[in-house]
Amino acid sequence: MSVMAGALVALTWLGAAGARQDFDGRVQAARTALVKDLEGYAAWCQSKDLFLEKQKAWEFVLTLDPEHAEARKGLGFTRAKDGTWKAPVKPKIPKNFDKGDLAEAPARLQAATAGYVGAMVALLEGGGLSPQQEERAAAEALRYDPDNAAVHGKLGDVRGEKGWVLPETVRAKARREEMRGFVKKALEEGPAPAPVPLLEREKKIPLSMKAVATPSLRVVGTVPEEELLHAAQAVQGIERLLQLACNTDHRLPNGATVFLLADPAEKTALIDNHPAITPEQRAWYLPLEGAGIQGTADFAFWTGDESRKIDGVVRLVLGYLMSGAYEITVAQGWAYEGFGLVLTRSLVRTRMTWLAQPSAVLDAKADFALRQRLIEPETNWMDEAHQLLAAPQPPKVAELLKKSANQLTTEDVLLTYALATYLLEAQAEDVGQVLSRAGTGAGAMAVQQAVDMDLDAFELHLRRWLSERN
Amino acid sequence: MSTVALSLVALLLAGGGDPTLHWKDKDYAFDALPPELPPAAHAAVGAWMAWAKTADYRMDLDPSARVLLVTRAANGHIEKQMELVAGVLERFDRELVAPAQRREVPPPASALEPKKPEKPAKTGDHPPLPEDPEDPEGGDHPWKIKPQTTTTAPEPVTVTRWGALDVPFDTETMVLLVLRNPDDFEVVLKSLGKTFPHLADWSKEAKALQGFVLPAPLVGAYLETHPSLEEWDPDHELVSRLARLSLLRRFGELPNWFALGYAWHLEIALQGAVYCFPWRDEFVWATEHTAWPHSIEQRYERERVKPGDFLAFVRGKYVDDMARASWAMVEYLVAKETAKLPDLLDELRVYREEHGRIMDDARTWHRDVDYEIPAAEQQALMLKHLGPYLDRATFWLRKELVPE
Repeated sequence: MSVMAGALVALTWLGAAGARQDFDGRVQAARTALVKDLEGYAAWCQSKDLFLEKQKAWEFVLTLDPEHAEARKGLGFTRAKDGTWKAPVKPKIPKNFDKGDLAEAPARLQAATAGYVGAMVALLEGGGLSPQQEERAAAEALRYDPDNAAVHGKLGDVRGEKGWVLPETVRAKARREEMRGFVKKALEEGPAPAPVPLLEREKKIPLSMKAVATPSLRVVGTVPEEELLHAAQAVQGIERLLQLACNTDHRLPNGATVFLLADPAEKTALIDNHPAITPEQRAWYLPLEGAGIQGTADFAFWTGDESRKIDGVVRLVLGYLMSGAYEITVAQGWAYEGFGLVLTRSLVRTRMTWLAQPSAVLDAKADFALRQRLIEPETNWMDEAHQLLAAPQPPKVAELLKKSANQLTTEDVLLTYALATYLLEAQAEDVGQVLSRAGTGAGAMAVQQAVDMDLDAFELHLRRWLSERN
Repeated sequence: MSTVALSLVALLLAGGGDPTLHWKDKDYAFDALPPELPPAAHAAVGAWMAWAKTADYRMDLDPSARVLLVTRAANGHIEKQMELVAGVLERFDRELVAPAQRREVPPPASALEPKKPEKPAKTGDHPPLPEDPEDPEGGDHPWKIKPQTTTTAPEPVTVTRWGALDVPFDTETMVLLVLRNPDDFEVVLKSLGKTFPHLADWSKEAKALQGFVLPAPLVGAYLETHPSLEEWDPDHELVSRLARLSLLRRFGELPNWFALGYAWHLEIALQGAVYCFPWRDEFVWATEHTAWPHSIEQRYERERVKPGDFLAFVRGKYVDDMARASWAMVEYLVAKETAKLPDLLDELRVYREEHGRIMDDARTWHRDVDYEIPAAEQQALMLKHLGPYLDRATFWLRKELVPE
């Protein structure tokens, strides 16, 4: 039995390898046949005085065989002495004269391309192709027969409002509706914060501070009271949003307190007088924009305007919650940064806190330009991510899943964002489990199992999903 | 500046002696400086006076209070040196006036309200994908606080020299130390390294040098004499280093070819020869000091000036052909393109400051001290300001560089 199984595995493997190796040859043979069929279609157009259709047929042929002499001549090209083709100076715009025969033309064209489409479908159904080859064969078939049910079936597509799409495209649309509801709940249904007196430990910090609180959270600081109230709403909100979106019941720590300082210069008073910060630790905190204070349930932010402070403190708190709920830390850069950015933006519409190294792929100027674009609040990250995945050398998802947050490049950050969005919208049922497994160091395996395909194939899949997310 | 000045004083040993500041024909004790002394000059004197007392140096300030020359107390050559200082300043002011309006350096990515970055050309075959497909404007979102945006006209700003402790252009007093021996040179380097953290590494390596010119603090130094120095003329050093300090003070850091070219231009104009050859380690022939004009004339009789002849002359390595061509191009620019130079130099400064940054993370960066503007970018700026200047320069070098 084991010998038989071994032989079967070997044969299957050889079959797959053969299909991959033979792919280009089979595509080329099908193209040659298609050219013949299109020549026949062009001749039919000529016989029916459908000159515009004939021109389209020759243009089709040139995409398949750029040296096709009859097509070149038919399109008005002339041959130079050195053998090169010279385009007509004033291309003619031909006309179709027989309206009756024109109605028959689409069916004739479909018949001419049917053999080619059939060959591509046969390649897909034969199996053993690489993800890239599958994508190419499917694209070739759909180019001539966009509604081909066999190809869409093979791709696992479903019919959506805008034609054939990935099943996740339909799922994600429904999930986004749910997510909007979660955000509304998170921001509007929590207990309302109200002004409260300072606690004794807060009074020991020599700053003119006020405080607001809910039953589970205090926000204290030198910023206007309205900002304290907004920050309390946002911090409560991110706790609730994580619970709803990722199906966890993890909560803020008891006695959670957020310090918000209006002026960065005030940080010294806080750092010098916080009982949990030792003199040796002072130097570590001073250069930061804000921080979670180690060994306490305190978070502090002292940089930027109101939006910057709220964005920063939401990220700090979210980092704490993800660490407790899933053991996700900066070591799992894709999850820490990707989910951190997506959930923060879902809640408070900003993405101001992120880590990135200079790009390894882009040149310095392009990297700088990308960073500049991403920092702009109005930049559309999903479109940027789609363009990144369509670029000649996009970052590899498999590599991305190995990096810590401070190893991520600018493009990596963009890709983590797209990946987290995909998981939250399209794989909502699995997202909690993916995060839990990522926290144990099995992120790549967890993502692969959630999407049910290898990561190379997933890159193409993600790109297509992004293109359909409209 | 005052904080830095105080710390420099604190690092250097206090001592005795009876040194003075000589300014406008009067001598002043360091503890009785005249009230009309401009603050920048006051700061410069304050920064170096403790060391001057200890090491027995005197200070001479030019009447405009722009140059503080620090030399050994028993200096019988000071009148000639101050004449050279005056000569450099007079020529510099005449030839290179300050830009009528200085450009601001665009902020890096860390600034939250920069100009809108350019969108790259679309590569895909579809319109932009929406970020929030079902709520593209975000109108339904319950969170309404938006990041601050600048809606009022920006405040007028004072343009300052990058890395120069936010000192505005053309305000600082240049300090030029003429050091009597390598021991004094080493003491100065040590104190600079301790006072200015960004100079700590450099100050250790600089012991092998015979002088320096620094942008921040704005100070130059050279050895008055040294047993190993042949073909060394301290007066030429004074002219050369003061020329470079003057450029830094007015225009910030400029491409090497221009900074050295201008220093050589003033050496020849004021001293009639070239004696300063930074980074050169091969023998200097006695005939070389005065041979540059004729050698350039002969070279460009045979060929045309090309951008690579001088634009690629970078710091750290002396290349004789490029050095001469750099000087020649500055001669041409000063003679024929004077009016266009201030704006060109200002744009070169901005380009360097804008592109010579290394991003540490999304929000912080540090300066790439070795950054050189690529020759092609320099050429583009030259063409923008001067038009097709290379043929004009070639013709001028052939016909007018050397008077008939």
